[in-house]
Amino acid sequence: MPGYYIKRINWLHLLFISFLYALTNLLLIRTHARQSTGKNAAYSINRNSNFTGVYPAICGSVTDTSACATNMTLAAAANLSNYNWSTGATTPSIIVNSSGAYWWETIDLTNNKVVNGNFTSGRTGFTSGYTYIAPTGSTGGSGALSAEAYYTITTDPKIAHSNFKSFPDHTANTSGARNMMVVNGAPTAGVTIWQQSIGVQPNTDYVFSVWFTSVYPDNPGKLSFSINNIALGAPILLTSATPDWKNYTVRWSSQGNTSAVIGIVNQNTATTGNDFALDDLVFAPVCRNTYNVTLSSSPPKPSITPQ
Amino acid sequence: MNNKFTLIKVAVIILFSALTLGAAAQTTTPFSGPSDTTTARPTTAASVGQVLCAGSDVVLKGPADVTGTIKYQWYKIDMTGTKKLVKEGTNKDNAYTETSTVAGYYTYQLVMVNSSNCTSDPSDLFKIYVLPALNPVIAGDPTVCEKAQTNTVLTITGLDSRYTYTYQWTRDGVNVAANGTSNTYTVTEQTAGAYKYAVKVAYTLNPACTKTSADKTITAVPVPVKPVIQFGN
Repeated sequence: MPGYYIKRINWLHLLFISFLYALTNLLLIRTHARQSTGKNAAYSINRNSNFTGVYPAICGSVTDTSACATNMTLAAAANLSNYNWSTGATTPSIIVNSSGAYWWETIDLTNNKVVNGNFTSGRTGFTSGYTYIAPTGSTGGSGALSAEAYYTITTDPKIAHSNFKSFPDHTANTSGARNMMVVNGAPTAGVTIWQQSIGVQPNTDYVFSVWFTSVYPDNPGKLSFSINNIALGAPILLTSATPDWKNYTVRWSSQGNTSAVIGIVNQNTATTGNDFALDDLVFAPVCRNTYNVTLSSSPPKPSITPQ
Repeated sequence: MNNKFTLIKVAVIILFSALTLGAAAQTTTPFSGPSDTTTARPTTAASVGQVLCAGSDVVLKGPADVTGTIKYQWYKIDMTGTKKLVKEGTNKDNAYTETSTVAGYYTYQLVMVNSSNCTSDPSDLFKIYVLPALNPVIAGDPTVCEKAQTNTVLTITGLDSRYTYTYQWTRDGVNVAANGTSNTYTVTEQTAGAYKYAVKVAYTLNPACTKTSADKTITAVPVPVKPVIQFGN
């Protein structure tokens, strides 16, 4: 019987101490500096006065971070082309000096809704009011894009027109995905260059991004963008440099829409020049990455007093 | 077999207990004795934080905490120069106490930790010098002739020559006024008899650290009586 008694006490003891151990570690985890990240987190944040809801619904991360300091540097992911912080900053990192929630947004490029945005699959996935011609075809004495209102998919504009500048696609790939869409602008306004219909999540912000450059310096193209036939800002005038890959980015809120018809139109009707290339189209949800910052002050340096 | 199983369970319990305690707080490793016994004594009391008598209690305090959320981490430098956590005080316990052992420097440092687990800068090192125990012994010839015909010079042995002291000689328990504060005392007596001499020695570094020697009995012997010359037969 004494043996049984000892055995029972030991198991109860073990159970009790295990509980204490788990509880202690839980408290330590809560007490010590924390750094955790959760993917696919949802947020309930009022985006603007007209819209209240889950935003953005698709992606983002939450990082709890604390420090014994009066300020903290928060860093966004490196090498992004655009930074957008809740403070209004557009720098890769910010310094905050009070506790609270801070966020930065980025585009979830792994969730690009544009099909064949880098034209690796040729002239598939989109529609165009322009006429396609193979880059080695001919519409005149200078090659495939001698005539206006034609486009091609190629690795080098000069292949399609002898007077076009020779250069690689936007990512300057020398192998693999290295196509671009090269266009000889139409002499009439409003002809759709590129259009794609994309399914979207309601109440979600997306970013549409495209890279473009002139391929011939005269009369650079004047491109306008639209989603669901609503123009997105003023037309963009390309530069005459060749190449001069520029990024055009616009943010769009789906609100109640479940589809987005994205269109790119050239407003320049000049017959001389007015030649350009497009590449790497992206239409992807905005990801909001939130830092929950807790800044705590340290006790002052103590002094020892003898008694 | 059953006993073996029970032993294994006890071992597991001890391991869990150790892990639990280790996770709950930093391990303290209190130790006694000084941090440094080789560095020369302080030349002045002001050159250290405190000078204590041998065997005294070290009692230190940090800033008070009214919230009760501050942890007081007391560190002590060991003989190898390593800083060791000797106490973690919680719940407004801002005191550190320790009984000194041998003479030498005892060096401490304090760090405060708040409820956010934020730590203060470490305090400046606080050095305490603990003096060695005093053991004065009076030496000298124990006999003089009355009427101050002879004298004996009392000296003090048993004192460490690396320190400086103050002295007060006593005769039969009363402070000697004339020339009674030197490290030697010359005894002369007018009247035959036994007299108890002692000396109270104090460190200059801390006059409160004193020790009175054992009594030294000086005997003043009578001189022969004045002879009278007789004449006649």
